[in-house]
Order: sequence, then C-alpha cells, then structure tokens
Amino acid sequence: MNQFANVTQQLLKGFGENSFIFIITLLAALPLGFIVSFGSRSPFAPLKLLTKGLVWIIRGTPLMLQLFVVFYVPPLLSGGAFNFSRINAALIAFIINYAAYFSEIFRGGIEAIPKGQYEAGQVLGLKRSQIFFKIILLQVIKRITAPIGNEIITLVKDTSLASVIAIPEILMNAKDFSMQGLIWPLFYSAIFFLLFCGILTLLFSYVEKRLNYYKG
Amino acid sequence: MKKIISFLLVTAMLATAMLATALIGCGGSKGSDNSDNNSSDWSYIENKGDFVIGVTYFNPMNYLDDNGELTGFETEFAKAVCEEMGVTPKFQKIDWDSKEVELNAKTIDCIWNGLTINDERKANMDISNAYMENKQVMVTKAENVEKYSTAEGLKGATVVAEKKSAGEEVAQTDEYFSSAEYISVDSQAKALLEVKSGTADIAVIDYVMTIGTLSEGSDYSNLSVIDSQSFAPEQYGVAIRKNSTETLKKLNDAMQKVADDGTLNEIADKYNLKDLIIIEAEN
Amino acid sequence: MSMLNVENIQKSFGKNEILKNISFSLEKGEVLGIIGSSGSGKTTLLRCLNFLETPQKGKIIVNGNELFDGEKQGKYSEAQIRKNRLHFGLVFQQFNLFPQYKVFDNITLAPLLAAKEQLKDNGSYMGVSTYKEAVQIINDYAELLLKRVGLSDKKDSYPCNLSGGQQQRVAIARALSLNPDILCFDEPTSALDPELTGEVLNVIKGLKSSDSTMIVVTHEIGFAHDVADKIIFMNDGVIAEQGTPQEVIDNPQNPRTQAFLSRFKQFGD
Repeated sequence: MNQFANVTQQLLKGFGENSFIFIITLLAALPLGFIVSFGSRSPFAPLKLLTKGLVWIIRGTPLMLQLFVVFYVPPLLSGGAFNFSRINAALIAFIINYAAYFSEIFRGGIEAIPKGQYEAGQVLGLKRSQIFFKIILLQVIKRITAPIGNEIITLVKDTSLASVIAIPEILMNAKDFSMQGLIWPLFYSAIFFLLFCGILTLLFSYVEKRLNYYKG
Repeated sequence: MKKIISFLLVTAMLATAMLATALIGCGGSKGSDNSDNNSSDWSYIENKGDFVIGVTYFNPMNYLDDNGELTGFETEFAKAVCEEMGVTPKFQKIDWDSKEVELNAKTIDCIWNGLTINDERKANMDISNAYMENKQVMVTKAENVEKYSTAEGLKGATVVAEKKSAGEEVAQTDEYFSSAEYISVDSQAKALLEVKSGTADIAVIDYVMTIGTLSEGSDYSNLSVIDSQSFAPEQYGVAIRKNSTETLKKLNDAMQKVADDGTLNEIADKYNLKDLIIIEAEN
Repeated sequence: MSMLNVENIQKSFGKNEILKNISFSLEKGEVLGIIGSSGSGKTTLLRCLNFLETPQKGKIIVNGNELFDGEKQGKYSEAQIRKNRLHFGLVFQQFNLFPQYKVFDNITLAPLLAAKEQLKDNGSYMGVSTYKEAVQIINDYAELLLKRVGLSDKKDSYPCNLSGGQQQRVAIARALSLNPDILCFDEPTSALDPELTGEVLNVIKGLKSSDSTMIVVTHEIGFAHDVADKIIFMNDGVIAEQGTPQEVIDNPQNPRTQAFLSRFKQFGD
C-alpha cells in the first residue's frame, strides 16, 4: 500500500507537469491562433503567404521534432551559450504548434459564416468591428466548439511528448517505475488522462448545450 | 489600424525568420571550430561550478527512493567523484535516446548512467576509464530456466532485446541464439515486459538491470536470470564531450582517488555490485 | 427635386459589364418595381444603391445630396459610406437575420449601437441625451414595427423557430428600424414556399399605404402591378422599358418586355 501511495504521488507530480503545459498552452495558443487566423485571411498577399507557409511548416512536421528543435538547436548553434529551460522550450513548441492548428480551425469557422451576415450588418450601418464582434464571433464560436474541443483533448495527451526533452511528466515517471520492476504504474497513469479528458468532455458538452439555444 | 497590425505581424515574422537563418548560419562556423576550442571545456565547467550529470532512472544505478530522493550506485559514486573534482553535481534526467545531443548542446556535462564503452561511442565522445563490468544475461520465466539453459532448447523460441544494445548484438550474432527468432524493442524494460506477457520467451539484457528489476516484490519477480550462461562482457564508463582532455584527466584522477580511499567499494557493496567493480585501488 | 436620382450608373465585374448607364428617379412616397430575367442586373443595381457594390461610373443623389460620384472613386471613407447606407434599407432574398439574437434584438441591435455612437459623438440621439431614454425610444419603435408586420407575439423567439415568411417579415421590421429614406427589397419572396409569399407581400402593401418610398426587385409580376407606381424592365444591364404598370405590364412596347411577360402569362398570372 505504501508502494501504491508512492507511485500515486510520483505520477501526480508528473501529471502536474502535464497539466501545467496544458493550461499555459491553451491560454496562449487560443489567442495567438486567433491572431494568426487573421494573418492567413489577410488581403495583404505577403502576410497571407508568410502565415500560410509557417502554418504549413508547423502542421507538416511532428511536434516531437519541434520540441527537439526548440530545445536543442539554440544551444547547439551557440555552443551552449544560449538555451531555453526545458519547460520553456516545451511551452514554446506546444504554443506555436497548437496556435497553428487553432488558427486553421478559426479560419474555417470564420469563412463558414455566410456573406449575407456581413452584408446585413453593413446595410444597418454597423462598423466592421461591430459586425465582427456583435454578429460574426458568436456564430464562429458555435461552429468551432466541436473541433476545438477535439484539439484540446488531443493536447491533453500530447503533453506527454514533452518527455523527449526530459520533462518529468507522468509517462516518463511511469516508465521509470518499469525500470525498477513495476509495470502497473504505466497502465495506472492512463487513469489520470481518462479523468482529465472526462472532465473536459463534460465541459465541452455543457458549452455546446449552452450554445444550442439557436440553430444556424 | 488594420494596416498597422499587418505590418507589425510581417515584421515580427520576418525577424523570427532572419534570426533563425542567422542562427543556422553562425552554427555552421561554430560547428567546425567546436573541436579546437575544447581545451576550454574544463574552464567552462569550472567557471559555472556545476557538473551537470545526465541520468535516466533505473534501479540500482539512479532511482528515486521512497522519499522521492535520487539515490543509487551511480548517484553516490558521482557525488563522491564530484567532491574530489571540486564541482557541484547536478543530476539532470534525460531521454536516453538524446544523450549525445544533450551533451553537445551543453545541457548536460556528462553521461553517468551505466554507459557501455564501445567504439562508436568512443568516436563521438570522450569516455573515462572503465569502472565497472557488465555482461548480458538471459531472462525468462522461472519455469523455463531449465529448458533454455542449452542452445537446443531455444529452437522456435522468441528472443527480445533493446534496439542497438549489447543485448541485441548478442542475440543476433551469438551462435547460442542461431535457432531462435529475434525481435527488437525500444527499451530493456519493454524487453522484460514482452517476456512477462508471453509475447517473447527470452530477453537478453544487462546483468545490472536485472538486479533492480527482478528483485522480490517487483512485477517481474516471476522472471529469472539463466545463470548458466552469460555473454559479451562489457565495461561501463562516464562519457563527456569529445576532446575535453582536461576534464577527462580530472575525472579519471578523481575516480581513481575515490577507488583508492575505499569509498567506491563501500558504495558498491551497499548496492550488491562489489564483484563488478574493476578500478584497482592503488595503495 | 426628386427623392432619389440615379444618373448613368455603370458597373462591371472584370470584363463583364452588368449595369450599362442606368438612370432613373423616384419621388417621395413612390414605389418602384424592377422586373426582368435573372442576370439582367436588377440585384446588382440594388446592391449599388446600398453601397454593397461600388459602381465605376455614375451618381447617386438622395434629397439633393450627392452620396456617390464615380469621378470621386476611392475618396469615400468607411465612415462616409456607412453614413450613406443609412439612407437606404435593404431586405434580402435570404432574410439574413442574425440567428443568435431574438426577434426583438435583431430589430434593436443596429439602432442601439447607433444611439451609443451618436450620444458619444454629439450628445444627443433623436432628441434625447441619455442612453436610457434612447433605449426607451428604440424599444417602443421596435414594438411598433413588430406590430406593423404582425409579429408582436414572436418578439422573444429565435429566427430558427420562425417560418420563412415570418423571418422575412422580421427582416422588413429590422430594415425599417433605422428609418431609411428608401426601403429596397431584393426578391423578397423568392426563397419562400408559395403559400408563404402572401403574408410578406401584404406587409409590403401595408407599407405603401403608410407612404414609404420603396424599390422592389421582384418576379411577382401581379404584385408589382398592384403595388408599384412605376415599373422598370431591365434587360442585359439596361433599362429596356419604363413607365406605369399599365404601360409596361399591360401594354409593353419593347419586344423583349413582351417576350419576358409572355412567360408569366402562360401560367395565368
């Protein structure tokens, strides 16, 4: 039983890292993705091209590789003079990666709103910003809750990738136990993810229900 | 307003791109002179005062005790050696697959974790004098020990080992395994898991690894080492950056001293590894 | 001085010239019906009047004020265009109600935003000086508009719970909420099931009796005949024929008008 308590404590400690990465990534990547989605819809061609190119690179390469690049490339190139801390490197990679995915979801959501909604606002004398915030935004949010929810659930599990730059997250800690001859902590760690994702799933279905007061 | 935002965004992105290019650019030149400015590796370490030791956790080398404190044979040995060298040991958990990158990126200063000395590693890193011996052993379910104690018994059996490990080398080249099937996995713990779950019959792993993992009360306690056979004796050393001559000398001297005053034997005894120590005490 | 003067409007999309030199005028309280086959430029003309499209040439003058001159292309600020738009109201073919707002809020959204802005800029809105009073005026007017389109009992419904005809009536009330000088309809019954067109047409007829100035683009020839004071038949981006309903619909002179109308007559319109 003492062993169980010890394992639980170590896994919880690891899961603290996962949760930390999850929360910071979410808080930063959602607004960043929102800004980037405007870049990829910009009428100014160089900005649009640049944004689309960056999104392509980020979405076209594995997150694991991006973690490597952010953490190891600066010290390798500077001869050890400059490097991010492990956790900062992880946060940078996760935020950029998820902002790219979020931006595409936002872009799709915004583009799915019928032109008529903008025009109806225009003929009523509304400003561009009023049209966006008073008319378009909530409709976009309703359309993207499901895909964003999906992405957020994926993020919970992706946080485990941080172990490739030796962030002592839950799976890494669980693997350490297997090096000490204990297999079950590895499977036990699944409980933590399941609980966390379960809570998120409930939260999303609540939001979806709240937004279900209208259709279209 | 919108134009200003667009402009700022473009500027920021271009700046990032240029920074990246610049880094890659100067990296090219840095990479080449890396080899000749390494006389300064020791002064680099001495300057910061910390000796960052890259480890992974495995029993009995480096692992967390019940209080969550890092302990183990290598941990204590490294602490003793660092004291001799006059630097503060800092243990940094790493991903074993990235150990060489970590070393070159200077995010760690050495790898001290039951690292087997071989030619490939010697070509990429400087490695200390060998301090400990290790061998590859076969692990199987207790009831099969007898069956697999002879080469004939292996007919049709599945052998598993960690990819690129000494165990793999043995399993693929040693005559003893010629009639068995071989598969590779990504860690020694997984090799044991394969045997435990019955998806493989025999794991070829480090003897040292079996000390911690097969102990009483572990999930692998129904697995046994086949004592009658062992393979490919090898030696453990501490790896540091290539061409760090001065650091290497300091390290070897300090290790010798720790052996000479009996500290090493004392630590090894504590973890049941005394038989494997190969530094001769000179006194 | 006419209420609306449209002079020599020309509009192309790329090489495709949609409106060729369109001119007409409209008096206060008059209803103009615009008919013509699809692609003749009717909708584009209406969109130009509402500044959803910018013509390359021509002038738009309302009550003697020049709102647009093709010569001064590109010199109109967004604020200027927004102000110009308020002279016109537009009812869309697809209603374009805001789905997340209740019927009542669909109608009051724009006036409330306008009140806020005007109170900030000039300190007064429709003769009152506080937001609270402005809200009162706007709410009262919205109630009145809902009554006029016969939907007072639906004020707390969401658009998705209304029939197409009801949605279009809300859209009409919404277009009236800012008291435009001229109310434009872009085929207001085309997206409706036949049995629902009547209620919408009746509302438009009701507006005529209250002396609103309107431009109605429609395929409902019978309705245009009843409600319009003046009919324009458009063909290929030009006004092929114009005059009273009796002249254009009952007694067309232009062979194209005749051909167009004969298609409707066949169905006993």
